[in-house]
Amino acid sequence: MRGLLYNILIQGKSYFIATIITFVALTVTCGLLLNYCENTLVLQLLSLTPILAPMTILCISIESVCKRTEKMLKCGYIKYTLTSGVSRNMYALTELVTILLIVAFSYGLSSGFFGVMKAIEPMMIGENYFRNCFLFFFLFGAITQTANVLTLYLKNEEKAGVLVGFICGFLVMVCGFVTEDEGGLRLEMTDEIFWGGLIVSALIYAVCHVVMVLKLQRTSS
Amino acid sequence: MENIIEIKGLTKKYQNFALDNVDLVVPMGTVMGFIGENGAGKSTTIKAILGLYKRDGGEVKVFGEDSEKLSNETREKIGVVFDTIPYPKNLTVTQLEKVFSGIYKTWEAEKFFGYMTKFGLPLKKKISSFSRGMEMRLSIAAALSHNPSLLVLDEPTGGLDPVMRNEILDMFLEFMQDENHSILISTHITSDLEHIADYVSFIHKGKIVFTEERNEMLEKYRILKCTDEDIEKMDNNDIIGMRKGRFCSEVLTDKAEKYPDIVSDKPTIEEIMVYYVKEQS
Repeated sequence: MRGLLYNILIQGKSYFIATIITFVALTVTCGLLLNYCENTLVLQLLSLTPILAPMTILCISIESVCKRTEKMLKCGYIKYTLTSGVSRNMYALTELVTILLIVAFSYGLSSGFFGVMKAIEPMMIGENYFRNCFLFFFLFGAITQTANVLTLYLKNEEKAGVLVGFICGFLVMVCGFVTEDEGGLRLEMTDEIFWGGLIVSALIYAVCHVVMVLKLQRTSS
Repeated sequence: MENIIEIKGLTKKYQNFALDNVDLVVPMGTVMGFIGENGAGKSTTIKAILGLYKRDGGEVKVFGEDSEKLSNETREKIGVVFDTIPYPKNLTVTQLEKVFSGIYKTWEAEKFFGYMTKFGLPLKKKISSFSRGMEMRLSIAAALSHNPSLLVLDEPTGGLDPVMRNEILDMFLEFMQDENHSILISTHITSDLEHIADYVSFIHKGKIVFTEERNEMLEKYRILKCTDEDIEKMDNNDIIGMRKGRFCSEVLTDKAEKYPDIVSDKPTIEEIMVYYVKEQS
């Protein structure tokens, strides 16, 4: 797994660096604006950043993971590693670990951002925001895993991304997780939804892992 | 003699192509040349050996194990070179070495960097900037650096200049100094096989046409320079392939001793392949 992970980290190096720079810049800018800006329109826009910032980072992470998979598939790297001492299960497990690492990395960065915002303006970040965001990131990791498996099937990350986007958009609309009120977007998150979400996400991870192992048996043919 | 690769009745069906009852054996300590035109089934057979797909029928054993269930230890004993370089091209050689050292337990960094120096490959340049020849040299170096006992090579010398091709063939001969080592080499450049192959197996339209010892094969076949009258006198069963010329025709046969009066030449492996393919297409 060490060699595979090293390759993934090298491939995603620019993504990690760019994300860190963006988040640091965003935190500093938002912190300064919150402290010194009195324009209500700007402040209203700032209240959206706790949702928009993590969503942006997660969208980039989906793109980076799937793009890498497509590239590895097309250059024959997956086929090559499977002929070496790497089992299909190990390959799929490495992909899973990578996604969980990206989730942890994204959540860590976002938490730093939320922490700074909360320190400056306690009202801006709600009571359960860290907990809810954890679920949000974990679920998004499962979505990334789904898109990654679909990339293997469709051999094209754009198609996989569009398909997953449609499915997610549909589910969000049907389930009504996100509602709109005067204060902007709010995540309606009860304890049941939180734990249910965690379980569903874990199931998606597990199913996608199995599907990926099965697909890898046919990918190289 | 122990067989490193044993294929019996391998069958795999695709929409427009099928491997039909392929039998192939690679004994330990030998080099098997695997020849055939594009789309004949060479790469599909190699993929079956590497266990890269589920076969429809037959049996493929590598080091005595079913190729679909090869253990990781056995996989490490196989060095593979594909016709295209299967590495992420945005990596440098140094970065790639770190990937390999994490993948192979038997990886030898010193050996790998030794090959890099020998081949004159830059360590800090991205692989995407490499020429075809440099890519193949890198691929071969990687295959040899984890100490395999079997090399499976799919068109390894394609795109290389004659000097480099000879250098690489010499490396394969050096690899074969160990009597426990074996090579299966699929190639279009059949002249390469005349240097290194012990056996030659010819596949055409998914079927093995023949597998023969190289020298015996080259002794067995003859190209007869025939007039139209000579051809009329010949038994049709003796004619494997024929090429009509303006003044005389050339006939490939394995029964040249029946026609001592006709001028004959020794064919090359390439000629044998071409005559077979022409006759059957």
